[in-house]
Amino acid sequence: MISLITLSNVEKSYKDGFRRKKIIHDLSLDVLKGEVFGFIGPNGAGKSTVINLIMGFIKPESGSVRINGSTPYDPKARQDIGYLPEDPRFYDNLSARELLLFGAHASGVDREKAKKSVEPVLTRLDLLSVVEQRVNTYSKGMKQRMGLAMAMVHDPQIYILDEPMSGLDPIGRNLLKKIILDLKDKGKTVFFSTHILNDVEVLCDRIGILNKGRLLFCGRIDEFSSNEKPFEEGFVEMIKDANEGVEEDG
Amino acid sequence: MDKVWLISLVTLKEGIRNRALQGILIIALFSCIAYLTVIPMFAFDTGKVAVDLGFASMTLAGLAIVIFLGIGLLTQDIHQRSVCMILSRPVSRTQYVLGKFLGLSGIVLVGVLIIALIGVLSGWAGIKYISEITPPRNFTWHILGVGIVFNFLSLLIIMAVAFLFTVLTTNAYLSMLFTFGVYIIGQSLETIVKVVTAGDFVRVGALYAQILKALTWILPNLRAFDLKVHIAYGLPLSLSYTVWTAVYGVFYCAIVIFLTAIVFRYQEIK
Repeated sequence: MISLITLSNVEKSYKDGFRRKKIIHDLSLDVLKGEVFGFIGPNGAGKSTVINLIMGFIKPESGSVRINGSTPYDPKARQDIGYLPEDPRFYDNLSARELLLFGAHASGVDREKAKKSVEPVLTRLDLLSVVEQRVNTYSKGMKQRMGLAMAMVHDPQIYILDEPMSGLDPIGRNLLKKIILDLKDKGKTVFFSTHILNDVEVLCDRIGILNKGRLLFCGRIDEFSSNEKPFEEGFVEMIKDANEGVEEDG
Repeated sequence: MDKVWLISLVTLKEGIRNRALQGILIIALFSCIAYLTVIPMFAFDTGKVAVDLGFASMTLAGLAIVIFLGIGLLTQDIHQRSVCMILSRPVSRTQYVLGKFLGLSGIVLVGVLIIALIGVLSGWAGIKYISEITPPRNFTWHILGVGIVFNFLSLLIIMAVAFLFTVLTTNAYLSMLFTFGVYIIGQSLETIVKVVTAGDFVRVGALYAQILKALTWILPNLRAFDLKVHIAYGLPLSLSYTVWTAVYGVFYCAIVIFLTAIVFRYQEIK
């Protein structure tokens, strides 16, 4: 299988006062073409940092990140990516139509095709009724769905979604799950981070478990939950063991 | 270039619909109308007073657009991560900086044109209907036009400086403070250097004088764009001064934006 997202021995640290604090430790990961990959971990595990590295918003101190065979700093590598940030922010005085047209054009979609792609995407995300309304009038859930519309409007091959379920009500979450499954059926590659474990079991082919910047597990979901323990219990136990191990090392 | 254009258009739309711009323009409108009531109180040189007040309104409103609206939009983009909406697409950071600067320049241009139009109309109405107001001596429209273009150019320089500071600092208030500082220095540096080098009123050490001269190469000389005296007294304006000052303004903006693009290229968006 072709790997569309590859992280090799990636390390990343941030300034913490006068010292540097390591956030990501020697992370290696492959996301294969056509799979739904769930990136899970507790709050502060470093999931968003990894996504920022994949998107090229930040650079690793060592190791390499490749996306679709190129570095993420090459704009062409982002041609085929749909990205949803954890807290999507837009130009609030623009309407959904204007934003989606801008998103499609900026991704290289021609004018006619872009015009045609706006309404189907908004219909799919139940936002067509507010297509001409300025985004600053939207609720948090609507903004989250708008963020997904921005990621989908140019019909990319790779989707990188940072906490896509956050801020959504149960109906919105259900809609999002269906959309991710649809994308999977169409052969798209989806990489998403979450800490909601129920979603992971339903949606993912493979998962990666990150804790305090270290990858604890990477593999098929049935490999993780093959033992008798339910998925959630196994996850909690793994995190607890890892934390105890870190404390003992310290 | 297509993407630069796209980003500039979306920035222009966002800025023009922003309530801050509408508020600034309404205040400018009131100040232009208000100065019609102030000018008749002056006993002489009402033409000069009208030009001074008109340009002061334009500069103040332009500065408010740059410092509050411009830095506000840039902060929203860079520090609150709206920029991810653009940089997650096949758009380079240099294209973003160029597009954003062009869009913000468009907002400033719209502001300056509206205020200039209000100023000219209120000046015309003042001369026509208020007997105490007299037109400036030897008034020519082309010098007024050059004065407005130069005012716009000086605001563009401040916009470019504001962009650089917003990228360099982590806080909008710091960026506003530094930008305003550069504006104040840019307005007064030429005069200070003249006074110091003439040595009639102030005597300073050679090193201090050299430092001041060096600063004139780094900080913008905004006084060069001030043509109020020319407009008010109908003083001749040479073509070479006009062209070289315009070239200086454009090059200064280009250099600052180039630096901004370099800094932004290596900046992490967390």
